[in-house]
Amino acid sequence: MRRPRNAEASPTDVAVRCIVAAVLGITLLMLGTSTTLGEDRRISGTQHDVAIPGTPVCMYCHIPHAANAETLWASKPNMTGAFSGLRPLCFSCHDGTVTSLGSFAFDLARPLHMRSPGVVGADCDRCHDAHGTPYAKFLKLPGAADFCQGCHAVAGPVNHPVDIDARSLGIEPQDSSWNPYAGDFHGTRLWSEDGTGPGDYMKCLSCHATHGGEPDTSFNTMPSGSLCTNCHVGKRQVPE
Amino acid sequence: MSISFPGSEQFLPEAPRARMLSIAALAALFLAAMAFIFPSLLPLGRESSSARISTAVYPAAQAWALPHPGEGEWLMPAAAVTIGDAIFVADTGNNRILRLERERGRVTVLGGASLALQMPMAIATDGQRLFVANSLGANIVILDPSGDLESTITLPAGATAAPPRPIGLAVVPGGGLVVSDAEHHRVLRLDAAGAVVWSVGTGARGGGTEGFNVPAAVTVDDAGNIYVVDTLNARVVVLSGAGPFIRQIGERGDTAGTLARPKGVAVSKTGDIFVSDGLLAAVEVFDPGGKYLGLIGRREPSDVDSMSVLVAPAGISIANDVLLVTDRHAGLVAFDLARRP
Repeated sequence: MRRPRNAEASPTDVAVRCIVAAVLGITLLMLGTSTTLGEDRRISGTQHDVAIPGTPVCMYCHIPHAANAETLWASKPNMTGAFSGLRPLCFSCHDGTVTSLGSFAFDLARPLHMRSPGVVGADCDRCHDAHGTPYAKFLKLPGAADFCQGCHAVAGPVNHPVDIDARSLGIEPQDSSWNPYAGDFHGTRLWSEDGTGPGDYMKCLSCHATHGGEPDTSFNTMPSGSLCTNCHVGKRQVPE
Repeated sequence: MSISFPGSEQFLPEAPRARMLSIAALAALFLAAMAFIFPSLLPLGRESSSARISTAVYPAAQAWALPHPGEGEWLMPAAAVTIGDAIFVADTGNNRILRLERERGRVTVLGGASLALQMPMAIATDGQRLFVANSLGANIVILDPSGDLESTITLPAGATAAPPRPIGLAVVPGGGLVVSDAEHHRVLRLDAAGAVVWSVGTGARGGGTEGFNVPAAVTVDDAGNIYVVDTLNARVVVLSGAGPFIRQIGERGDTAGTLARPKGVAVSKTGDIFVSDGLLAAVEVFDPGGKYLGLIGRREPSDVDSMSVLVAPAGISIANDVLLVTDRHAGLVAFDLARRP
């Protein structure tokens, strides 16, 4: 039988309220300690699953804090500059120890895509989600060599066309071999139509290397002068 | 007693509003009580200066630093060793070995491209020759001090088809090497001819007394004990010269005396154990029993809260009471262990 709305709370009601309050409080405490609930399961099976059996994968990057001790990381030795924000954490594995993959991305002399160190979603995690994505290289967006278009509706100030079959237009880059994984940062690559391998197509990543461009450029793969002439020999115009 | 907020009346009927407010009040009281009883559970508690304990700063004065080698640039060097007055650096990003004569300001590239090094991650010496862990070449390259190639040791295959990836090595007094293979999570003891004497590790990511999760730098103390940086297990494993596990040093954490991402290890002649940590941007020091002694690397050596002189410390070595830290981004930084700051 339902009690009238204005009736006094019974002892049972008070007990229920206390239990609810306790559950809420504990939940808030857990959230307050930065527990990433559910992420463990998401990472499982990815290349970032570096856990040994019986240990949660979270703790390998979300280093547990020890109470009542001097917090070395809290003194933030890498608070500013090119090596700050998430970059030290990523480099702590991608430095040739845990993996040799992508270590070129941490050459501080080379420009990389704009990021805001320490700002969630605007640091390395602007493009990558280390917890796993449906796309290669933990990218948050589809499109492979044209994934930039997920954010950039047009290409830069010169608005160069992308996603076109360059070779069918008679374009043959003189240096078409840039591949930072092979230590080559110079040239203009043509990609397959889906942007996942070598081919004939002009893509965003034909001219830009988001982790390692030429110094003093917008992470271009060649200095400004030679970047154009590498494809457009003798100022040749590309047909409409 | 009733609590009301101006403007809230129009959204909730009287009884449900009162119930929600009472629950919220109870939750707030509960949180306040928890914060009072268990202050360390709350994130804010970590920043409280009253919760801190004093951290020892290990007495070692910075002797010198070499952010750039002078002639030419190095790129993310990973390790260095000293023979006499010369320092030999694994110039990892440029796939080469450099010989530095710091006093003369001279830099020599050993062997150059003819050595075909691929991401050399560690370098060791027996006082005469150089041993280079050629990580992506799956071998150990042995050079004389002038850079001429003496021989190459190809590491045996692991549990999977992936080639071995040596990223740490040390010379064993009396002959032979200890090599870590990050790909197969094992540590190999090789004799002077390069044959495997024993191997520790399960072949896959592991822990405890039998396994490693990315073994990296290794060193050997005067008694012949072997120290292995077990990177992702956030510890240093001590093995006997015959291979069995003796003990471990350190545990995972981001506070003084714990390890976040250990990278390098060295043992002084007094038996103190030095561990570089790439995430904590410091070198932490433990006594021979594993007790934490303090850290090295702050700009103000007596102030743990001052910024670090290190950025991404990696390989470390000790020669003539000088701790030589190879920092992937800050270059070489030397600390005089015999001189108080």
